[in-house]
Amino acid sequence: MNQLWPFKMAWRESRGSRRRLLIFLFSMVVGVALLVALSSTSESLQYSVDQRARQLLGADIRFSNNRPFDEPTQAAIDTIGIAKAKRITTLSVAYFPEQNQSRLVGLYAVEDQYPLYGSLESTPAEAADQFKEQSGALVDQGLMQTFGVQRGDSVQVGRQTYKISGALIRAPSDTEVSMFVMPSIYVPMNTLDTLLLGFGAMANYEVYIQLASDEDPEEIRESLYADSDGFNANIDTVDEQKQQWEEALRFFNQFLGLAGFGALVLGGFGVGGAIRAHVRRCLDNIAVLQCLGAGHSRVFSVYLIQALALGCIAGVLGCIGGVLSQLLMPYAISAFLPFEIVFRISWMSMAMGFGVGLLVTLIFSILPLLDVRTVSPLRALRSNIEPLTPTRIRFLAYIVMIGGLALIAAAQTESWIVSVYYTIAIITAFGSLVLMAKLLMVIGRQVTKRIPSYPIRQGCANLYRPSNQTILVMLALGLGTFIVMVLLISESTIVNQMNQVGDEGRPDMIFFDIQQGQLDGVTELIEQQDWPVIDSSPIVNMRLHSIGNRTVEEIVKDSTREFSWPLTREYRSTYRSELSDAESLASGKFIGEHHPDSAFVPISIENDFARGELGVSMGDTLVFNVQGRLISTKITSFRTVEWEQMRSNFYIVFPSNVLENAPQTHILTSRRESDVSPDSLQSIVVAQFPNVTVLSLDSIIQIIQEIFDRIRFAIQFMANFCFIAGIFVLIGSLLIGRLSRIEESGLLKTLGASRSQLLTISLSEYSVLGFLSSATGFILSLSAGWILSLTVFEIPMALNWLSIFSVMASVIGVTVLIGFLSNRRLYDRSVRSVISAE
Amino acid sequence: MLEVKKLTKTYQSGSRLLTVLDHVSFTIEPRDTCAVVGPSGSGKTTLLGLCAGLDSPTSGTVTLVGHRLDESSEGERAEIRRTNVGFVFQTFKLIPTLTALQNVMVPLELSGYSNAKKSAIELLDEVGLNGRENHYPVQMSGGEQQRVGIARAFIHRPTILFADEPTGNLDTATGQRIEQLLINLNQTSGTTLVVVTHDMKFAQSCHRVLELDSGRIINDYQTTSEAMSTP
Repeated sequence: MNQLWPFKMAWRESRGSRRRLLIFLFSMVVGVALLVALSSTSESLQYSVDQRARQLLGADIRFSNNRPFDEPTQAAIDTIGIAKAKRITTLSVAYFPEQNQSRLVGLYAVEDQYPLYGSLESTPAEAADQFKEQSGALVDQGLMQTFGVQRGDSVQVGRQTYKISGALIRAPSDTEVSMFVMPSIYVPMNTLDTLLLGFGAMANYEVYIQLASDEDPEEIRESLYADSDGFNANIDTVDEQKQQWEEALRFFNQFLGLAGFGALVLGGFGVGGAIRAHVRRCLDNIAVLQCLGAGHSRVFSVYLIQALALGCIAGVLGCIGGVLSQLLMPYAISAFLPFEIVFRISWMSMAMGFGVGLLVTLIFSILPLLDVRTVSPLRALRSNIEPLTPTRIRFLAYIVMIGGLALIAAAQTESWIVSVYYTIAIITAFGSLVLMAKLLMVIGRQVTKRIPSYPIRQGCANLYRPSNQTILVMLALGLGTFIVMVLLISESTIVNQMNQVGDEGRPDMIFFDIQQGQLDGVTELIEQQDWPVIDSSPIVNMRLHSIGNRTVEEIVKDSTREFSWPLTREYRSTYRSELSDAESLASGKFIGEHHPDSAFVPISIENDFARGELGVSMGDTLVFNVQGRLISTKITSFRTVEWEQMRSNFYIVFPSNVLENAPQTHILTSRRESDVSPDSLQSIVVAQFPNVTVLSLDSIIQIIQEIFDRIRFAIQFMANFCFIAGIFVLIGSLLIGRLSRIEESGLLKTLGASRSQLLTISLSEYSVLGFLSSATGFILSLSAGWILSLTVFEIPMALNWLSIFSVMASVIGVTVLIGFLSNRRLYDRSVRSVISAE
Repeated sequence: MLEVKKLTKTYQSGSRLLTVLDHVSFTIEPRDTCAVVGPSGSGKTTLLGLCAGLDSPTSGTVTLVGHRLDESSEGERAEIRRTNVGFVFQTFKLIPTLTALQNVMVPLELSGYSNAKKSAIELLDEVGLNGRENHYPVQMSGGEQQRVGIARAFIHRPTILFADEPTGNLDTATGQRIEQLLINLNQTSGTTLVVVTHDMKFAQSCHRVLELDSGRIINDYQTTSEAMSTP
C-alpha cells in the first residue's frame, strides 16, 4: 500500500476547492488572530506592569486615610523608609477667571519629592517641576483644551488662585478615562486652601515612601496591621499593586477573550460549513475512489489530511494576523491604561493560537468528515444514495465538539469553571442565533410567497436554495450585530435613565460641602439666578461603634460575614422629620422627631442595604460615634430609596432633635428653570463660595457618554473581528452557491430575463439576507439587553432606534455590496457564455 | 471467476419491502464477456453493485475470484476491488480535479505501484489519448472522458471489469468506438467483462447475455456473433 497516496490525493483533490476553502478559512484566521492578539497583549501588559509597578504606585509603599493620620499612625510611618512624599487629594470645583468657566476636578496637593518613582508628564516638560517652585498649578491638558485655557492663565481652587505652569499630560496611575471623568489639578502642598480640607470634605491623605534595601514592604504591612489598635491607615505595596493589575488583566482576558472565543467559534462554523460543502461536492469522488479499491479509512484520511492542513494554515495565518492585530490593540484599550504597552511577540501565545486554530478546525470538521466514512461505493452507480452518519455517532460527535470547545476555553482562561461558563455562553448564544435564524427563515418564506413581483419573489426564494448556507451567513453576520446591539442597548438604557433623572421637576444640579455658615448665602445666590432650591439636607459624619452588645471591631474579627466595609466605613447621615419624595416606607414606622426622654434614638435605614450588606433587622440597636460622642439608636423603620434620583439620598436618617448641634455640612439640590446654564451657575457659585462642590446632571451624562464612547470603541474593535469573520463566511457561501447562480442565471436569460430583472433578483436576495441576519442579531440583543437592564442595571430597557437602524442598514448594505460584487459578471454575460460555463 | 447463488436484495420503501433481486444465480468464467440487459428497474445496476462488492446482499452468495464477498468486511471488499476489479461508469465518474493522467494513475497509486506514471502514459496512448495526459476532464469530450475511464479501469490489469452502461452518455459513433475498445482490451488482456447495457447490438457482441426482468433472470444465453470481436 502506498502510504503517501492520501497526501498526494488530498493535495490533488483539493484543486477545485482551494479558493473557497481559503475564503472560509479566513473566518477562522480572524478568530485565531483575535485570540493571539488578546493573549499577546495580555502578556505585554503583564510585562509592562512588572516593569512599572513602582512607577504606577509612585513608591515602595503607600499609606492613606480619609482623615489626617492620628499620632500613633504618623509615628509608625515616620520610622519607615529613606524618603517620603505627601499628597492630599480632594474634590473641588476649579474656576478659570479668564474664561469664566468652572469644572469639578480632582485636586492633588503634593510635596516637592512627589512622585518618588515615575514622573508627572507635562507640557512643557519642565512645568512638572516649575509648578512646585513657582507655587503654580499643573492643569489637566484635556480640561485646558476644552476651556481654551493657556499656560500663564490662572485657576482658582478654593480661595487660592494659581498661575498655570503647564498642562498635565499624565500622572502615575492616571488613565485617559480617569482623567476625563475627573480631570486633575496638581498644586504645591503648602499652597492648598485648608478650607477645602474642612469638616466633611472628601479628602484623602497619602504618604509615599521609598524603602531602604533591607526593608520589606510586605513585612512592614503585616507588622503594622497586626497592631490593630494603634495603627489606622490603608497600606498599599508594589506587590499588591501588581496583584490588582493581575486581577484586572485576568478580567481583561476573560471578558475580551469571550469575544475572541465567539469569533473563533464563528470561524469554526465557517470552516465546518466549508468542509461540509467540500465533502458534498466530493461525494461522487469518494464513491469512485472506493470503487477503485480505496477503503473507508484511506478515503477518510484524504479528507482528514485536508482538514488538518486547513487547521495548520488557519493557525499560521492566525498567528501572523494576531501579531499584526496586536499592533492595533493599544488603540482599543489605551484609554483604560495608565502606561504605554510595550510590544512583545509572545511565542507562547502564538503556539496557543496555532494549536487552537488546528483544534477548532478539527472539531468543526468532525461531522462532515464522519459523513465521508458513510459514503457507499454504490453511489458511483446511483447518485441518489446519500451518506448518513448514525444518530448515535452524531450525538457522540456533538459531545466531542462541546468537550473540545471547553478544553480550548480552559486552555485560554486557565480555569475550568470559567471554561464551562464560556462554553455554556457560546452554546446559548449560537443556539439562540440558529433558532432565531430558522424561525425568521420560516416566517420569511411565508411572507415572501405572497409577493406579487416575480423578480423579488424569486430573489427571496433563492435564500432557500439547498446549497445557499443561508443559516450559516445569518449566524455569522448576526453574531457581530448582536454584540454591537447589546452595547448600544446598554448605552441607551443608561443614558435614558440619566435623562429621566432630571424629568418631572426633579433636581438636576447638586451642591455639596456647604459649610454651616454658608447655607443661607449659597441658597440666596442660587435663587437669585432663578434656580429654585428643591431640597436641602444637613450631613453629619459618623461611624458605627457597635451593633447590639458587640463592638464593630469584635464583629469584624469574629464574623464570617461577606462584607466588613459597612461596619468600618464613615457614614454621611442626615436628620429630618419626614420622608423625602425619593423615599417610601418599606416596613416599620418612620419617627421624625426624637423625644429626649426616650432611651434610644429611632432611626430609619435603607431597606436593601440594611438587610443585605449591613445585615441588621428591625428593632436592632446600633451605637454611632458622632464626632467622639456615642449615640444609641434603634431601627424603627426601613425605607426604599430611589437612588437614581439626583438628590441627597442617605442610608441612615436620624429624626430631628438629635444631631442639630453636631458639626455638619449641607447639601442642596436645584433644578434649571431659567436661562442661566448649569455651567454658568457653577461658576457664579464657585466664584463666591470656592469650597462648594457642584455637580450637574448634564456633566454626568456627558461623562457617561464619553466613557461609553471609549468602551464602545474597545468592544467595537472586538465586534469588528466577528463582522470580518462573518463577511468571509458570506463571501465563501456566495462562492459555494456560485454554480447554482450561474445555472439559474443561464436558465433565466434563456427564458428572456433582462439584466435589470436579474439585478432585482440579486438585490432582493441579498437585501433580505442582510435584513434577516441583522434582525437575528437584533432580536437576540433585545433579549440580552432586557436581561442586562433587569439584572445588572436594574432599570427599564431603552432603545435608540436611530443607532439600531444604522447598524441594521450597515449590515444590509455590506451584504448587498458583497453579493453584487460576487455576481457582477453574471449580469453582463451572454446567454451562450453562461450556458457554456454550465 | 464470478459465481452468484440465490442472490436476493430487498429494500425497505416506506412500509413496503421492495425485492430488487430475487434468487438470482449464474456463473461467469474467466476471460468471458457477459452483457446484462433488461428494462429500467429490472435490477441490472443492483446486480452489478453486488457482484462488484459495492453492496451487501440480503441473502445468497457472491464469490469473486475465489473470495466470498457476502462474508467479507467492507475493508476486505475494498482490497478485492483494488486488486481484481475494474469499473467503467455511464457518466465516466472521473475525478474532476485530477488530470487524465492522474485519474488513470489512481488504482496503481492506491496499490503503491512505483511505475504508475509510465504505465498510465502507455495506456492512455493505447486508448488513443496521446498528448491529452495533462488535460482535466472538463477540457475533454465525452468520448475522451470515457476512454480515460476505461484506461483507469484497466491500468491495474484487473481480472474482471464491470461496466455500467458505458455508452449510455455517448453518441452512436463514439459509443461504438468505446464498445470496440472494451472488447479489444478483453481480448488482449484476458480481463473478464461484465457490462450492463441497453444497447442490444453491444450485448450481442458479448459471449453471453443475461436478461433480467423484475429482479429475476428471464433469459440466459450464449451469443455467437463475431461482429464486434475484431476491429
